[in-house]
Amino acid sequence: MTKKDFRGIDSIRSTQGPIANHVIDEFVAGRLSRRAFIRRGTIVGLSIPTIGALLAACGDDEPSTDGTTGGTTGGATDTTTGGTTAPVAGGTIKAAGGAPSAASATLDPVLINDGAGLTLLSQVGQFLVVSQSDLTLAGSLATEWTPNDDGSEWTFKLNPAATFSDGAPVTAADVVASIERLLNPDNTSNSLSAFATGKLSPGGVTVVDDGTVLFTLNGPMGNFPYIVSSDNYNSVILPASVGDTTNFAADVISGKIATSGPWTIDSYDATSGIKYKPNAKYWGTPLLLEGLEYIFYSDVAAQVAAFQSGEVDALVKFEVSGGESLLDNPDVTVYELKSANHRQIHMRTSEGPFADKRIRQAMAMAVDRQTMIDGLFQGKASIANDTPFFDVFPSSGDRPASTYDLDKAKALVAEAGGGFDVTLYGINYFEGPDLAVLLQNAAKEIGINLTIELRDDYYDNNWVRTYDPSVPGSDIGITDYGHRGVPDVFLNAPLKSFKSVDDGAGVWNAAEFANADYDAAVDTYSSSSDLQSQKAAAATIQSILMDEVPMLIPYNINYLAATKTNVTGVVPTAMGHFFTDQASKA
Amino acid sequence: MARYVLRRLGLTAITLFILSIVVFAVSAVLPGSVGRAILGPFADEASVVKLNQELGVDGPLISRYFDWIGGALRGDFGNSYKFRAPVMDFIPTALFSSLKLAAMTLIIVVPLGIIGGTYAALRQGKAADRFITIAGLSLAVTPEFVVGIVLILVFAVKLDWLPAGGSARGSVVDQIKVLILPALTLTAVLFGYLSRMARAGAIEALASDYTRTATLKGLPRSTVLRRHVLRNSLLPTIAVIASQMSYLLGGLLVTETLFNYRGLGLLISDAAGDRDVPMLMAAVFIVGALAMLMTLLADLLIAWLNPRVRLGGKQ
Repeated sequence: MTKKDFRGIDSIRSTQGPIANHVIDEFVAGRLSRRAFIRRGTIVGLSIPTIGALLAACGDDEPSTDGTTGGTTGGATDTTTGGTTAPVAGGTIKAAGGAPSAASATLDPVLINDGAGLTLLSQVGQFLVVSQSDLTLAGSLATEWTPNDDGSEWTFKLNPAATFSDGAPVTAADVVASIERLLNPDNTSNSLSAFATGKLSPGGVTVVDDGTVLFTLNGPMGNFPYIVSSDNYNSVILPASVGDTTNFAADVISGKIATSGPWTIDSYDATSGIKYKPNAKYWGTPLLLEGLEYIFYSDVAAQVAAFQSGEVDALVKFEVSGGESLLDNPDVTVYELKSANHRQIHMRTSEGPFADKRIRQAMAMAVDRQTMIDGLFQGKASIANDTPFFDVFPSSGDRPASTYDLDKAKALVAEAGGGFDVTLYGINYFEGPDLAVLLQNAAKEIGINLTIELRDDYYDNNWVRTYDPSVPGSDIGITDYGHRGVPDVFLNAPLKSFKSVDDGAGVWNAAEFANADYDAAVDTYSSSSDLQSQKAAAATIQSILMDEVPMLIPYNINYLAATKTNVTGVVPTAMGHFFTDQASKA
Repeated sequence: MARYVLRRLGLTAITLFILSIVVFAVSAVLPGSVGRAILGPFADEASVVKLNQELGVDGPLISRYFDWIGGALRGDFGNSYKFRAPVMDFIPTALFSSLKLAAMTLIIVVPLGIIGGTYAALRQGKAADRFITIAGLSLAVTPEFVVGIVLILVFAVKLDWLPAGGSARGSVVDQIKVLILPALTLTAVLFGYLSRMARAGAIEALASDYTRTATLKGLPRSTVLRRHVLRNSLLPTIAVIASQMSYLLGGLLVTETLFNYRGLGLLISDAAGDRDVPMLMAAVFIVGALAMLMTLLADLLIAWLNPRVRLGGKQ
């Protein structure tokens, strides 16, 4: 670097806070990779031009490459097949997806709890910031976000151009009302646990001025912007005047509720699908499409058939199982996104056959992860190491690999007193049944006989005992977890020591794992605002979890979406977003 | 005949009452918490408790049953937990869709089954008989899912003649196009059963004294078949068709799922999955009631065709 470059960096540093400057220093010193710098920089609020200027000063001119930051077919991080077509104005895209869950059926932003509901809501509602396909944050209703010195306060500057569909500007009062509605326990919001992780309590959101909002947290939180980003299903911003959101879809159609997104709802049948029309007063780049339609399907095979026969142009999400024919189809663009979607196989540490650490370690050694990934996902997943630090998170650092060693596993079981019979409970959907059989086979190799019991009421009776100590829970069980942009929720709710339901920590701790060192390391991780500190805490956490093995996490699964090759510009995310604001259909 | 009708109506009312108890009991003992099922496994527990209280699912069973049956008698089956709207906003639409698919299926399968079965009876023991019997049996034991997928791949994906699924809306032609593939799938399931019943009935009728008499007195063969063979061989066939109505109205889960056809089968399945108990109870009860109505109509038709039935064998 030249003196001029250093002067440029100093000039930028002089405008940033200590946390952002730390990120800059780490990058300049070579301790942050280019990719990690972009990701970390967006979290602490460095703007894309600033990041670009710093990259240029350090000899790299391109501010963004991993996947897409909106608008191009590059919604995929790595794999796309088939051709692309130049954008054309006009046309309607028909997309196939699952129907929203019972909680999401009216598209009430307070209650939405699944990817299908989020897909529909995020066409009309917008977030302060967007967690993109590559997990970098991009501005949406907010243009800047900056922490105070220790990350316990975050200030968001709103985009002055942003307006709702009734023409009113998006103001700080709207943000406060929207987030406080979610924080109010009386509203039974789906995001209460996310905000507990994010250390945000009722009254923590305040207006600084019309265009500025201040979030005051209960303590430092390095990844806080994700908590109010599109990573949080529920955090769309609505006008402060909105009171009841119970019949959200109907109220949007009637114009009673104004929204800020590119689309507004034209018609909605909660049993069969939804149609959107352009928001005539959309404040962003004008839409290319004339219309957007989602058709609900209950079955993957039906979705794939409809897609192949041309009745729909896009699949919001599909699984390898049932969608194999799409993977090498030249008429199809496949979007394959790295994701944190995974399964946890908890082993109860407090009592029962898995209370002995050696048994849990033996289970971890008996699982052939690569075979699982090949068999269950045709390789479209990544090996995980029984910790929530997946390859998708930059803060994971160097991830120690789990060992597949049957001889050592058998020796550990023998040391612990030999094999035993136990019931494996779990989910009866996704790849749960197949995973259960693979686990059963693996356990049998080391003398542990698992009887498989996959139940529809698994979450009521065989998951956690934190909500109701009288339920049996389970010695070992399979639980599904969806994608998050940062690992904080995975580190807190399922693994931290449980104190009380109100406290939030450990409420999903099915393994009943209680480890003070772990709790301290997670607190350090969560409150760290710089990547090096997060990586150091992550190393400690991984070391503890791989030694204690309260749960197996064999893999994290890639997210798959597809469009016909004449459709361009859609941007799917592993959360379930399917952004179409710059999509077109030739 | 009037007495027979009254007796059958009385039996139907008693059966409906028993059905209502069974439907309520089964819905009430579904495992798991309704609030947890609606809000999801990761919802805050306080939210789950609050929702259960709001929905009233923690009240005594008996009072909940009488509340429900009282409302049902007034045509008010309550509000859907999922859609937060009266269940009767959804059931008529789904029922009408199911009726359309059932009608389309019957239009195809009834003549095909009767003609196929009767022809097999006329060619008893010959190649045509064996072909119809074996083909019908093979199709009947092939899962609907397989038949449906093959039809979709051939007619929707490869030939692009018909849609791969969807709801029957729009013009009559569009609706017929949507209905053809699912109706053919169901035809494959029902043809074997129906044609075998028609074949058995026709063989019995052909061997009867009245057919021989009609033939010996010089009636043309077509007249013998129409007036004497078909009329008598249709009795068991009508009973079979009536018995399939509950399946055609509410049991088409696989076919409706595969073709994304929003009928009662899919509605019931989704309601069970979502723990939408009011929707589930209402839909199952209505399907059961309609099935009973169809059985009653079939019985009356059989009684009209066969006086021995309505007279109870007294003469």
